[in-house]
Amino acid sequence: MENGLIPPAITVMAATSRLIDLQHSRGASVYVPEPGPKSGIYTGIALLVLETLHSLETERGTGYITVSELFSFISQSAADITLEDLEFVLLSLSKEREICFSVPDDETGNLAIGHVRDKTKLVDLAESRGQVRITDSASLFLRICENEISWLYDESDALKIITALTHNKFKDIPTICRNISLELAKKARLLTDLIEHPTREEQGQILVSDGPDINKNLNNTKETIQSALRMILELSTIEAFNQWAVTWKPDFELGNLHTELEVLLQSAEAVTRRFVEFLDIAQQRKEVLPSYHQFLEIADHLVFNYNDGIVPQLESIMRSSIPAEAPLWWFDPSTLPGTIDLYDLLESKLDAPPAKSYDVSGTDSPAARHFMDFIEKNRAFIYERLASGPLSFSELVSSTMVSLDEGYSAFDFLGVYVSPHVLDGGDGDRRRIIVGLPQGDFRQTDAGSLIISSDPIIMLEQ
Amino acid sequence: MLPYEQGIVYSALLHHRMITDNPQGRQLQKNEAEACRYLTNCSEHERRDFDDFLSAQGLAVKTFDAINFGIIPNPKCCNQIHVLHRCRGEKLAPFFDQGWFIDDMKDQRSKVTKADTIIWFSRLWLTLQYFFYNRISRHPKQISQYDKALVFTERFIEVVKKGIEDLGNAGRPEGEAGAMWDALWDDSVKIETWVAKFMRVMLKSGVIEETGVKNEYRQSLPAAVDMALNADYDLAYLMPPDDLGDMERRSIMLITGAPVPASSIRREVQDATD
Repeated sequence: MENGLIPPAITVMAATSRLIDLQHSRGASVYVPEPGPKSGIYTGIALLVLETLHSLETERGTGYITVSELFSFISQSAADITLEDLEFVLLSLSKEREICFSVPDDETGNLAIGHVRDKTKLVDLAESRGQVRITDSASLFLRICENEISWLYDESDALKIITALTHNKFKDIPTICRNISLELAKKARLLTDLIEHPTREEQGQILVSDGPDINKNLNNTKETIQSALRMILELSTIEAFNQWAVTWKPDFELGNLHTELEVLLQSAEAVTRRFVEFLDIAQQRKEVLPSYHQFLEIADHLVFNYNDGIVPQLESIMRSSIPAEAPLWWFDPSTLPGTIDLYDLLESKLDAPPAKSYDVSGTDSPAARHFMDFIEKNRAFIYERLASGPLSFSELVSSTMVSLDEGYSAFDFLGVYVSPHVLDGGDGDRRRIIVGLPQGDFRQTDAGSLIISSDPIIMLEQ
Repeated sequence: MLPYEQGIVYSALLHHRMITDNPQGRQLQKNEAEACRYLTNCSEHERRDFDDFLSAQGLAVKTFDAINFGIIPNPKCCNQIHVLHRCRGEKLAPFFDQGWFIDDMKDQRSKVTKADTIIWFSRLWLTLQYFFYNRISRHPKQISQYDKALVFTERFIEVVKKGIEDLGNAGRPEGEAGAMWDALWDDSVKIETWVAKFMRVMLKSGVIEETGVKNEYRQSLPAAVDMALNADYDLAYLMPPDDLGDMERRSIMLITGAPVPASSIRREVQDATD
């Protein structure tokens, strides 16, 4: 096929074909029938017949049309269709066949077998075989195909949210939101695939040419969701929900619906952004096509064109392709009091970080005991100081009132800002310590090291 | 993002390579949700600082909207995926060990040389990429299709065996040019052993992840990102030239990183899609 595009009806047919093949399976082995020599031609004629009959039904209403008139219509689309082939296809489509199925039976708990025949006819042939009309089953098939034709996002799904809110069908809203989210996620994935896949140009061009309409539909959807968000906040909706909730006792609040709609709006915006990104890339990508790597061919080529330089080259490529390993045993976020230069750490041959740090992991390590001793010694001073107002870290560091033994510095106190509960209950005082984190950094030099940290504030609970 | 929060994010990225607060088909890992929220909610300025911090170590973070992979947004989550990868052209921090896989592939009991280990590893790695890309007609740039890239160990061994059999049937290249052929042919009885070690290394490095089915693995998202960033550059040096007359122009394009014009490789694309 010249442009590589598959008609939507064939996509739908292909989607059901394996279900039909199961009808003929005996269970011994997987049944995969081979198409006959003229299968493609007969299928093409059948789809033309159905589309033509459907179109005429729309113009003229339900009723028979002569086979000769039908032949003249479809010959305009494909001149090589013969009357014999048309008559064979009509006869075939007019025959019923049995479809076996089974559904779970609530009473027995097992599968219950069923059969259907009358839904399988796609056309009705008059007794003379000179007239034909389309059946309801064929109309259903064509309606499904029409939905498949257009990528355009169906904004009527979003309008269902407005309808549900208007008629107080709050229970349906989470399901509607989820269905729309699923649809948006599929569209986003389709766009991602088209952006990434460089050779699906034909499919991309369809979206580019439909661009203004798709963009309009996405914008309409966003506006509908925004309207729904405003509706949810109206007093009338809140009152209606409260009344409804008394009867139905739902497991969600109106706020949850608001959050669902906000996430839906974010998703719609993400798909819009993705679509704009796709249009941008699709219009740029003209003559440049990336190469495909035939990996097994590369592997064989290396063997038959080996030279001394190949092994080092391969080693270099593998070293850059395989993720590197990092010895992480010495690294833990609790050892980052501010910023840290990793190269300096390495130069000190991975020694433990300086004593001016704390361990809040709760383990009985020397660093933890060191910190707790420091707290016990200075607890009284801290509470006394907090009684007169909040205390910032920069102020504490500058203070000369903190009792320091050798090997301690005021920076040992930084840990209490992260774990203020270690100060709680000092000297019988039951008030809680609260920590606030304002913006801005605090810089201080201590024993030749530059410490950059935030400047938290602690205060006593009032 | 406070320095403490940066540390949480950095630690989580180093340990897991990929973090998201809405994982599909697995549980949240330690600190993962917290790290993801810090990274998603930080300001632009803070993100730039963090990117600089990583860049100094030869690393970078690529962020994806989860919806672009078809993942339905969860109202309680940030719905983003952050993947740690190497910066092309930047030196990796010295505390990283880039050659660990060579040691892991070696068998301490046998006397396999380092060169032979690299030859076998490269062959198996190229075969793995065949499963992830060629077999499903996928281009390395198609990151989002990573969840369709599967490899079943039994089938993998069959393909490796068939490849080495074909090498044997083609005959050994003359003289020293047959060194790679010798390494593969002489050790072909131990293909299963090589494959077992290789799969363990791939699992450990996070290139593949388990699917719940024994001996069947899937490409990980970080591995797909790495291939998308590196394949066109690294593998170009290994590819056979189409014709020698084009060599100079292809060389210039490889060095400058310019994309290959459509006229040069339209036939290649045709072959790939046929």
